[in-house]
Amino acid sequence: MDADFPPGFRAQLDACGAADLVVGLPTFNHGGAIAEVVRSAQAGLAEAFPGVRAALVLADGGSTDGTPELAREASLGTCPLLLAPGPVLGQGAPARALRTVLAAALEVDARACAVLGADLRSLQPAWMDLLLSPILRDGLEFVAPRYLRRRYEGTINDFIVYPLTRSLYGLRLRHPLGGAFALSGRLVAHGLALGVPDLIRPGLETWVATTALAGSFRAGQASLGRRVQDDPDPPPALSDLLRQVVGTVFDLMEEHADVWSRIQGSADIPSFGPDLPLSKEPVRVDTARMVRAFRRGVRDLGGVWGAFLAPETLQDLGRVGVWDPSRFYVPPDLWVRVVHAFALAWRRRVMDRHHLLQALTPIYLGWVAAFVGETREGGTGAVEALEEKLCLCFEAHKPELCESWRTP
Amino acid sequence: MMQALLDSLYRIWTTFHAKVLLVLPRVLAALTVFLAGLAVAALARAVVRRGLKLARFDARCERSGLSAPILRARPGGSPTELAGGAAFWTTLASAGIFSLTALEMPLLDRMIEAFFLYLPKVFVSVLVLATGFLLANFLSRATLLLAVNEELPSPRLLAGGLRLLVNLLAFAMALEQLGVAGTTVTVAFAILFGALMLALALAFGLGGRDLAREFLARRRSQDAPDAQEGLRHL
Repeated sequence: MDADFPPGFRAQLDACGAADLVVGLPTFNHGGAIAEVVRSAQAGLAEAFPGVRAALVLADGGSTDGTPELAREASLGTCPLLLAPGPVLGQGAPARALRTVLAAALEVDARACAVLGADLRSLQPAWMDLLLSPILRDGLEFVAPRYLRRRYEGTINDFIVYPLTRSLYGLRLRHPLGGAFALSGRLVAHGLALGVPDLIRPGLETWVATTALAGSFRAGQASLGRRVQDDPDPPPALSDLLRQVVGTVFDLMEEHADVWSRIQGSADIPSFGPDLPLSKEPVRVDTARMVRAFRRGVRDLGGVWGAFLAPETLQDLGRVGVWDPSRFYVPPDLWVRVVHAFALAWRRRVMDRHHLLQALTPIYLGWVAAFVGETREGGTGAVEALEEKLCLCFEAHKPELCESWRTP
Repeated sequence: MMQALLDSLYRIWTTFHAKVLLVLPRVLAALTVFLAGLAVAALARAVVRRGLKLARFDARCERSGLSAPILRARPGGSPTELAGGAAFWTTLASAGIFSLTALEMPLLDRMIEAFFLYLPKVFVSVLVLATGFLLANFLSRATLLLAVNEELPSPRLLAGGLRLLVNLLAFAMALEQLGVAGTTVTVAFAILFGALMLALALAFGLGGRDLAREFLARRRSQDAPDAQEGLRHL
């Protein structure tokens, strides 16, 4: 384990000694938000867990904006702040940072470890209690966040990750891509033993949540309120986002096929904090461009999709593509068949996997446009009802997925 | 007179007989080699078919896009069948050439030697063509997907053009390897490629100025923070 620690970090750990709680902050040029995040985390730990030994671990990916120094200056001094510098930038930096946090938690024999996005500007001191108490007091082993959302916020999560994860692993973990989570000491050890894969952030969050669910660790979710996070600059292209997130979900499907293929239906998991319905804040979305993107896909990508989509699915997509924009509608059943077909194509390596997920982008945009069109006039209840219908549709189609998955 | 004729006929007969006695064993040996080659070719075809079926070669070719041109050229055909056929005919042709050496004719021997010296070039050319084809398919699909997702105009035209270009390049390289009109092929390819680039440059530079401006303006407006207003993918 020692080899994973950056130079100088071991001495800080030795000086810190044992700690019951570890809060990890993987950072990379988060100078704008880090001071507030450090202060909130330390204040939250002091308020919620007085007398409990805690440590903050800042695992940096090689920031050039002085993030570690800003964090040190902002520290309230209520618990030790351990700085793990990351001298090398690159593709594996976020995974290395997570590895450092988890290894530090294991090293100090922590009972619980929370990992927070260092750009979570909305982080409140109360979040520490909400994320860590279910582990310390209720015996849970993984706690994911629930946020107050506006409609159409987090559509990759709502239309792919959540419904697919729910149908696969049978647990209704609403935000696997939450930007914050907490793990028990046992889950930390399990994750480290499996090996943290070289992914970037949304993919890493998916990996942690799926590892917990597939490993039958007791999972729960904590209502944290509104999430305000810095947008990456430059923003990643949609097809890259899909590749990072959906590619990870598909990879994990391969890894845990023996687990999910035995599960049917889904169940609620323990929730902590107030119920968080969708925000009623009005939202304006222009679907015309998304419909155009979908139509362009239908017009130009038939040859690519034809390599793995069933002929009737292809026909159904073609029929959707010619409809009038005002009547544009993609049935949930069709979207589910598409996602399952892409998962199977990923498994069978029908084509280069990067190309495969790029081919998903137009259909995804078509589904989002259809969803918005269906729910725009209704209240937030209409959005939640259609999301639930989609989840049930994923669950209803799961036996076919299992059957096809078994066929090489 | 009659005796002279008979003597002459006898001489012709003995010469013919001697030649037949000389050549017939060679012909029989050649025939035996050929028939043995036929049996080996049939065995090679069966082994190749079996091996490729076990290796799921057809499925792999379908994924890489190699099956499509085979099906276009021969409906109902499959890469496994094609490879089996290639193994059969290559073995049979080799056996046929070996059988010719049994005839011990100097001219044929020289031709056979030349043929065997040429064979490696044929294999390299086939390899270049196959690699070019796979690369063309990969790049064409990458271009198509990028063009569709980035809203570039005429995605299929772009992808098809790139596929044609890479295939042409591979074809020119294969011909050069074979030594078939090497200079002509290289020059023709250079002229064609240059003309194509010039045409594209003119088309985009002069004809497409307005289109490019419109495209860039559209891209800028899409990238603006409020383009999708309330929608967030993550």
